[in-house]
Amino acid sequence: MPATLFNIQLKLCHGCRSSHIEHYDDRIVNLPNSLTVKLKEMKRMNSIKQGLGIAAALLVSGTLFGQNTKLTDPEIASVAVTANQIDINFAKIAKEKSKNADITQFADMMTKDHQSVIDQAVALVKKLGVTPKDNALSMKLNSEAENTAKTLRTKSAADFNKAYIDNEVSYHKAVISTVEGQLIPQSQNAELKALLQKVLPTLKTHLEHAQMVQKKFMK
Amino acid sequence: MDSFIGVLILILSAGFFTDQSGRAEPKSVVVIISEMKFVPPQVVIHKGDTVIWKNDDLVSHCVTQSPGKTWTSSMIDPGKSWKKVFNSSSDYYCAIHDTMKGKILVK
Repeated sequence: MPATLFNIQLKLCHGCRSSHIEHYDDRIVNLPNSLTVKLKEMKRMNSIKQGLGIAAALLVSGTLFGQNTKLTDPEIASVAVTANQIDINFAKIAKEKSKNADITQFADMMTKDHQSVIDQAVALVKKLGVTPKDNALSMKLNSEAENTAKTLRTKSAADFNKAYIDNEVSYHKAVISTVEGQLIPQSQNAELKALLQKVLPTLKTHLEHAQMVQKKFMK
Repeated sequence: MDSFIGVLILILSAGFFTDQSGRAEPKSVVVIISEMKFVPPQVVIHKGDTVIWKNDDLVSHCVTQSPGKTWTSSMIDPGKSWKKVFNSSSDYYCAIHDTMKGKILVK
């Protein structure tokens, strides 16, 4: 009995949607062309949903804390260092798991640039005599980044590149939003505020670059 | 007398600031690297002039000829500079952040 889209949709309702779509996608050689196209589209949509899932928590963190939490300068310094370190950690995973030149070059850039920002942030807080202070936002960022890192580590070689670059796009959007909407407006010290303002073009260039790489994995 | 001194100063100045072929002495032009941009993005110079890139940005950059990569700077770290004498026009970019582009026009 030939499979139908209806059969497959029922299957999808009973368990892991991703694995079932993968499963059926491997068995569609005998299906009519129209159904094959539909299945491939479903698989593509599912992949997008997974990518969005990885980033969703990070986006939420940017909006949850954006309106209600007032941060001090030591807390802002902590968030800035944490956010940069998180992306260095993601880049480290990419270097371990990917052999794609676009991905590894992007990861190299993230490592160098974010380390450079951390170095200058640390130099500034030393100069100002400020000790970065852990806070709800920096801890939440770390917690969500750990989950994202776990998810990225479980990706197969075939799926990793897209998952990594999708996350980079979402992560940079969330960080830019937080820096613009929260960290800059709330920083009291002029030099700290200036440093954060100077970071923004770097983050926006990273986002632009990530979006360019992302397009290569959308096919 | 005043006009004679004025003409004399003008002649001496011309001799001081030009070489035997009558061209101006080589000059240096500074391009600031800031906020992920080359500022100014285009400079117009004479043959033999020097362009100095000064990195005032938070992150390291480089300056690399485009499209052939016939010359390149080493990594220019924040706060550091790099310079090169130009005898011909050249397009360039930052090979680390390839959206950053600039142009040297030699007249």
